[in-house]
Amino acid sequence: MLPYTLLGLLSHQPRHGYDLKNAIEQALGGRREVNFGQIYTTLSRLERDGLVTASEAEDGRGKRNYQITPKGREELEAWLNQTVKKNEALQDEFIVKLIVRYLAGYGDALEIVARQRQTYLQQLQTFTSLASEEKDNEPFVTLLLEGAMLHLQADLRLLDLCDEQLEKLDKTFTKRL
Amino acid sequence: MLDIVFRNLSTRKVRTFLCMLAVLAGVFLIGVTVVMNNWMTKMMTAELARYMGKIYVQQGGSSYPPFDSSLSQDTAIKLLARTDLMLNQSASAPLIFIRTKRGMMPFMPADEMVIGIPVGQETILLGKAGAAQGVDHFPAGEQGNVALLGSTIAKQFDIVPGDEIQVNNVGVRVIGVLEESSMDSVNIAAIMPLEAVQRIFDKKDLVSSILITPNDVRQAGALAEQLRSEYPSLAVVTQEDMLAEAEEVMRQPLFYMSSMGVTGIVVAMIVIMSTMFMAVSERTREIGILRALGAQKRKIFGLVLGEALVLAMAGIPPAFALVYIMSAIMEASLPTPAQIAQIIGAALFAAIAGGCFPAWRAVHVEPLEALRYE
Amino acid sequence: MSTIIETRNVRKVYGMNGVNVEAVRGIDLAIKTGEFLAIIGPSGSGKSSLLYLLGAMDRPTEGEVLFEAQNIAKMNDRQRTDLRAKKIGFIFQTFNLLPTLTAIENVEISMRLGGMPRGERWRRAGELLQKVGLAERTRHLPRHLSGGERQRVSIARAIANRPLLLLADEPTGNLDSKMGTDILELLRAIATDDGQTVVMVTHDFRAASYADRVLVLRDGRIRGETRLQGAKDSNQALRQLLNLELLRYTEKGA
Repeated sequence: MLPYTLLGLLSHQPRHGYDLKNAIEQALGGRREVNFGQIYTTLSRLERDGLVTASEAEDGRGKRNYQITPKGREELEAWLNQTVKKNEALQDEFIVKLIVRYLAGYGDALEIVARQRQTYLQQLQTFTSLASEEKDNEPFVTLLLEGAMLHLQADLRLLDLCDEQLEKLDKTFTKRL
Repeated sequence: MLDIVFRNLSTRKVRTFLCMLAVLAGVFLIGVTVVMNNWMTKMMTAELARYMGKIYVQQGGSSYPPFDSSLSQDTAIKLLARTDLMLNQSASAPLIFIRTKRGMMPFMPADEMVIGIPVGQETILLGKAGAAQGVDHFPAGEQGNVALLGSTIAKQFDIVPGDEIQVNNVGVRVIGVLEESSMDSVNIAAIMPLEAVQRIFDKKDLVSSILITPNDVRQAGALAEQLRSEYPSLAVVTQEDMLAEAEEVMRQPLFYMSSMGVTGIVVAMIVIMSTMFMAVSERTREIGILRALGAQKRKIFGLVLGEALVLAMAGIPPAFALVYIMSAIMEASLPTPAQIAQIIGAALFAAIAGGCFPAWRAVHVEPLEALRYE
Repeated sequence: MSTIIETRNVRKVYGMNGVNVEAVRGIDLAIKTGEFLAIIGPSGSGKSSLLYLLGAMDRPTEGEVLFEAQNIAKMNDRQRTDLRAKKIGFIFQTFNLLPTLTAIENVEISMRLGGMPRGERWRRAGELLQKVGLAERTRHLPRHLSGGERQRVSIARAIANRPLLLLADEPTGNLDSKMGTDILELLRAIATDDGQTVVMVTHDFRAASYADRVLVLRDGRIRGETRLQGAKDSNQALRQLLNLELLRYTEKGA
């Protein structure tokens, strides 16, 4: 998503590479330092794909000024306007894995659920801990954190549901197979 | 836990106040019973003290004063003339009692009366009491319409010697106002010569009673027995008889008063009980919390009972204040320490009886249930 | 670390209107000193019932609940009440403060019931309220306190007697997310800094993530157990979050 972030920033006005770094840092509350190298690499790629152009600065100090191209704008708009789909078929990868395992007789399904739960809970713990540290509301970080935690909570509920349904499956499935 | 008791009570001020009022009323009623009892006893005792050792011979009942008794003067004179009886002739005389105004309350004998006594024998009735104003005896040989007025009557109607009063629509001249006597019947009487009373009330040759003083006070009983056997148609009344009669008369009113008092206490008890039931029910959750926090059942019981006791105790001082006021008004004696203890005991009983059952219920609240209670 | 409390095949059956409900169906668990345990499950999973069994508020139908090696199931009411007074602290979803007492009085009373001498009680009550951040509110009645504040008084009250076990029944159930987070952090701090053993029942995963160990309950049985390691490298986490792959976690200017 970095490419789009940079395109977004450039859609307002041309900027130097360093400006872009600062702008991102500002959005994240100004406390964290962004790796300039990564930005530079991404800008090169964007330039290669014809989405931005670079020109030498007037002051001749060697800083390159980046500008968005019409093609770049189109790309950006297309991405922004597209509503976010979680994934194409609304399939939960974990559930699919679960089904496959079950059908293939591969490992204890309930055990898998338990392990996944462990992972989610651990991740959740990490995030809640992060949330405590990040108390001084940097809105975008807060949103990203809360978003992740809400997703995890929903996934954990889904796991509970898996447990429930697996129990039913046990009884009905053996008949079918 | 006492502070919690007070906190609980002060939070529901209106209810606490109303409950205290009920207790106050109950205690007050019991207090009134006691005061009335004391008053009546005092009255009777004062009256009857003077009759120690004396005998009344009457016809038609042994009540005192003998308004309904009537016997012939002739019989009286003949009896009094007997020297074989051990009676003190100078201290014995026929009397006539006329009730001129009934008492206000059923058990009060009379509000005003007229007593007729032979001239020269006033001291039998009056004893050593003298006159506050005017003279304290009839002039010798007086047969006219004159009267010695008892202190209460005189004060009530603002009468002084020289005034004329109407007795049965006849003018009577007041020649003396008596000092206050310990005998209430004297205080509310107009004492006149026997003949004058017989004349005014058209009771010629009739008297109400013969007042007899035995020679020897200790022989009063024996003399009474003798008279009884010799005069079977007459009633011979001694002090003991009068006492018994008085008690009989007082019995019913006393019973009513006691019932009132007991009812008061029962009502107080019921009010306490229902107040505490409400309190316990409202505070089911709190009780559950306390139990969850580790309060033993006994503590909870104590808490509820404590509240009941405080309610009862709080009603007592104001109740006593009212009782004191009332006894002051009635000029009755204040409750004795023993009686005060009884009254407080009654209030405590109301508290404990009323509080125990709710307290027991409170204890059996299951913490878990209680905490889910809304 | 020793085991403070353990259950052996503990069962709880409630009889209501002639119907028997098996809330807890044979649970074995052991809780060690200083542990922060979360018990998670949907409603009806028996988690609250289990908590009340652990807290000597209720008696098991079968099985043993060994508190410091003594079986609660065999104790009479007096002994259990004594245990609750001195060794167990409770926090409830609905706070359950005494409404006629102020904050500080609410805290003091649990010490009074626990047998602490008078002078120490009031002093400690004040300290505890300060510890939970309510120094300004000691004289307030519960109805003048917000939900989060009430829960904090609740916590102060529960730890007043330095109980061996602190039990929390859905402590954040009636609180909004911000207040809830504060309470959870307070519990976490108490568990970590003071070494308090905490058992918390919840249906909120996020709350459970504050614990060291999570037990999953369903239909009166334990279905799973997870040990949580504590927050891992949070830089890594944030990086994943932002998916920018370009953040280096340093404070600016460092």
